[in-house]
Amino acid sequence: MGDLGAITLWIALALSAYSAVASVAGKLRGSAALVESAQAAMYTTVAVLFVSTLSLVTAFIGRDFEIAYVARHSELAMPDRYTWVAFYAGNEGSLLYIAMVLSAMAAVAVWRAPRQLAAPSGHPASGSLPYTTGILMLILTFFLAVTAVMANPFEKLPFIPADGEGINPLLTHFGMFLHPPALMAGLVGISIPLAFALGSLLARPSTASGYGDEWVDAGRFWGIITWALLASGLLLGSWWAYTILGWGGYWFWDPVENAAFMPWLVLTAFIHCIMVQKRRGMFRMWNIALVNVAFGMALYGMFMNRGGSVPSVHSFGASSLGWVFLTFLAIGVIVPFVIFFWRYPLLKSAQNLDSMLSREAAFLVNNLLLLAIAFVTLWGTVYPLISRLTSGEEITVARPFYDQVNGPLMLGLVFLMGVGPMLPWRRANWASVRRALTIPAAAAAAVAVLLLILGLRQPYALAGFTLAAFVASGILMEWYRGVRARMRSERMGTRGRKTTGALAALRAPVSAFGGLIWANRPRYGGYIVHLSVIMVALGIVGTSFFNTQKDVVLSPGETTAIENYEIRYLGTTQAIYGNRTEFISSVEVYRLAPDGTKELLDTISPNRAFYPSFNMASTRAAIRSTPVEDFYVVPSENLPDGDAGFRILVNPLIWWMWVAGPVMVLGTVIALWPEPARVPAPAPIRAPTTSRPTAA
Amino acid sequence: MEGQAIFAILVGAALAVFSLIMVGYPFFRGNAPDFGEPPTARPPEPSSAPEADDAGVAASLESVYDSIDTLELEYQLGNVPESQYREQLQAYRLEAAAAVKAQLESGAAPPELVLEREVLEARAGIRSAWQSCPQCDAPVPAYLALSRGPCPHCGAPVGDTGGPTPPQPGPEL
Repeated sequence: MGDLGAITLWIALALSAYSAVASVAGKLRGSAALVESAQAAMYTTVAVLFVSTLSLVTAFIGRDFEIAYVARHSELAMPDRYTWVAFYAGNEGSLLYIAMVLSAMAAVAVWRAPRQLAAPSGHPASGSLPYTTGILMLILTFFLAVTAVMANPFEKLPFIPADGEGINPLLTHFGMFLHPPALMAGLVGISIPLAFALGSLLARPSTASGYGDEWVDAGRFWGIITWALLASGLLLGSWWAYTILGWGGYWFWDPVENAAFMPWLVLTAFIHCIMVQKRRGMFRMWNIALVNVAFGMALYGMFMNRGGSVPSVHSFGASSLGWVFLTFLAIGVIVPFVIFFWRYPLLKSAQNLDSMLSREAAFLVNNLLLLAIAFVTLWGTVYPLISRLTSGEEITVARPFYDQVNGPLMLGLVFLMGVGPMLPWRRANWASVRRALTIPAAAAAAVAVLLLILGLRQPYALAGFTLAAFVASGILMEWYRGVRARMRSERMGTRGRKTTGALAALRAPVSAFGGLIWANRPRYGGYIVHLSVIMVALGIVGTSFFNTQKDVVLSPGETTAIENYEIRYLGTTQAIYGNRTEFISSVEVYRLAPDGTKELLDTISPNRAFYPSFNMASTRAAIRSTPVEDFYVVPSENLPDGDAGFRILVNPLIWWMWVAGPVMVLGTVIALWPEPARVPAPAPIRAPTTSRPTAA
Repeated sequence: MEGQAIFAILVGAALAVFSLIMVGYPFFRGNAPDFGEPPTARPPEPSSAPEADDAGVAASLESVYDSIDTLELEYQLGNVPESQYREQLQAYRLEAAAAVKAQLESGAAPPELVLEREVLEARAGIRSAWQSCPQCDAPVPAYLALSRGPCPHCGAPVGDTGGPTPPQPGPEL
C-alpha cells in the first residue's frame, strides 16, 4: 500500500497546484471552464488524498515495516486502536493529516460558499471564490510539496525490520485520539477565513467606492469552527497533560502550548468583531488585520512544532523542516498584509461608532485585551530566542511572568464578558445599563462578601470568583428575562386555552426556554460558550490558588494525610507486556472527619509503566474527581523493596474545566446551527376605506 | 511484493485518469462558453454587475432583519428603553425599506415580495375604483359591486344591475 500512497500523494500535489493556478487564471481571464475545472481539481484532491491516507492507515494495520514511518511509530505489540494516533505521531504522517483535513475543509467551504461569493452574476468567474480557492489550494500545495519531497510518510527502508520502534508511550492515551487532530485542524483551518477575506479583497476592483461585506458570513462560520477546534484541542491537551505527564498540572506555558493558544486568542477577537461588521458594516480593516494575525500565529505554531528553535514536549523533535516552515511563515505574514495595505483605501467602515457605551465598543475593548494577552504570550515565547541572539545567554520566561502580566488582563476580559452582552447595539443609556447590571453586580457582591467571611484573602482569587459570579448571574438573568418574555407572548398566543396541572406548569417554562434558545441561536449559543469559559476560569482559579501537593515515599501498609484525606498504600503488582513493564499500585483513599473518624471513599490504582525501547517511563494518575475537588495520586517511582514514591494533590474545582469542553462544543453547535430562510411577512390587510372622494 | 506494486500502479493510474476526466470535463461539456477567450471577455466585476449588487442588497436586508430581531429581543429583555427602541426600530425599518425598494427596482426581489407588491397594488386598484349606484346614481366604491354590498346612500344592492365597471388594474410590473 505504500506505493499507492506515494503515487496518490504526487497526484494530489499535481491537482492542488493545478487548482491554485487555474483558479486564479480563470478569474483573471473570466473563464468559467477554468474556474470550474479548478474547483473539480480541488474536489478530486480530497478523494485522492483520502486514498493516500487510507494507504498509510492500512500500512499501519498490516505493520508494513518496510515503510520507514510505520517502522518508526508502531510495533507488533501496539494495539490496533492506536493506529489512528500512530498515523500522526511523526512529522510525515501529521503533514499528510494536515493536507487531508485542509483539502476536505476547503472543499466544503467552497462548496457551501454563498452565492454572492461564488457566482453573484451567475458566472462562476464573477465572484471572489476563485481567488479564495486559489489561496486555499496554494496553501495545500505547500503542505503537499513538503510532504512529498521532504517528509514523505511512504518512504521505504532498504530492509524490512522484524519489529518497529513502537509508538511514543506518551501518546497512548485517549486524549491523543482527539487533541492533536483538533489542534492541527484548528491551526490549518484558519486558512479558510483568511482565504475568504483575502479573496474578497483581491476581487474588489480598485475603482470601487467601497468594500463589500459578502465574505463576512462565511468568514464568521469558519472562524467559529476553527476557534472551537482549537479550544477543544487546547482543553484536551490540558487534560492529557494532567493525567499522563505526572506533575499534576495541565498548563506549563510551554512554547508549543503557547503557539496554539495565541491564534485561539486572536480568533476569539475575530469571531466577536466580525459580528460588528455583519451588523453595522464597521471594523472592516480590523477584521482583516485580525484574521491575518491569526493566520500568522498559526503558521508560527506550525514552525515551532516542526523544527522551531525552542524544544518542547509537544514538538516533533529534531527536524530539518524548520527553515521551510520559517520561510512559509514569512510569506504567510507578509503577503496577506501586502494585500491588506494595497486594498486599504477600500476598507472604510460604513458607519461610525455611535457611542462608547454600546456592544460594538465593548467588543473593541475585548479585542484589545485579547490581542494584548496574545502578544504578551508571544513575547514570552520568543524571548528566550531574543535573549540568546542579543546576549548569548538564553533566558527562559516562566509561569510567574505570564501570571503577573496575563492574569489582570484575563480578569478584565472576564469582566467585559459580563458587561458586553448586557449592552445593546449602537447606543445604551446609563439608566438601562444600571438596570441590566444591578442583579449581576449584586450577585457578585454577595459572593465576594461570602468569600471574605469564609476567610478568602487572595485578591486575584477573590476577583476571579466574584467576576465569575458576575458573568454567570448576568447570563442566568438574561435567560430568566427571556423565558419570562417568551412565556408572556406564548400566553397571549394561547389565550382561551386552558392548561392545568403541575406538568403543564413545568412544561411552559421549559418550552419557553427551548424556544428562546432556538429562536436566537447565535446569541444563546454564545452565552453557553461564555458559561463554559467561566467553568474554565473556576478551574484555573481553584487550582492556581488552592491546590495542595505532597510528595511521599510509602512502604506497603503505610499511610499519609493531606488536607482532609488520608491514603493507605497497599502495595504494587507488576505486569509484563510485550513493550512495557507496568507497576500498578493499590491505594485506599479515606476522608477524615473533624471528629477524627475516617471513611473509606475508594481504592484507586495509579500506575507507572517502563518502556525499554524508549528508555522512558509513563505514568497514569489515579484521580477521584468531584465538582468540588480532585484527589490525584501519581506514582513517581517504584523501588525494588516494594516502596513507592507518590505525588499526591488536591486540586479544587478542576472538574469544571473538563466539563467545560462539551458545554463549549454544545454552545458552538447551537450558535452555528443554520437558520431557516426568512420569508417576508405578508402586509397587514386593512379594511377598505369608505370615505367618499371629495371630487368624483 | 511485485503484485502489490502492480496493484498500486494500476489503481494510481486509474485515479490519475479519473482526475484528468474530472479536471477536463468542464472544458468539453456542451455549455463550456469561454475557454480560451481573450482577457477582454472578463466578466463584469461584482461592483458593476447588477446581480452582484442584488446579492449584496439581499445580504444587507437579511442583516437588517437580524438587527430588528435582536432589537426586539433586547427590548423584551428590558435592555433597551422604549424611546431608544422606537428610534432604532424606525431607523432599521427605513434601512429595510430602502433595501426592499432597491430589490424591487432591480427586478431581483424574491417571488414573495413581488407577489406581495402585486396584491397590494390590486387592492389599491380596487379601493381606488368608483362607480355609480344603479338606483340613486350616487358614486359608490367599486368593491361593493364585487361583494354585492348595499349602496350607502339608498341601500340598494350595488352589484345587482349591470355589474360594476371593472376596477382599475394596478400598474404593470
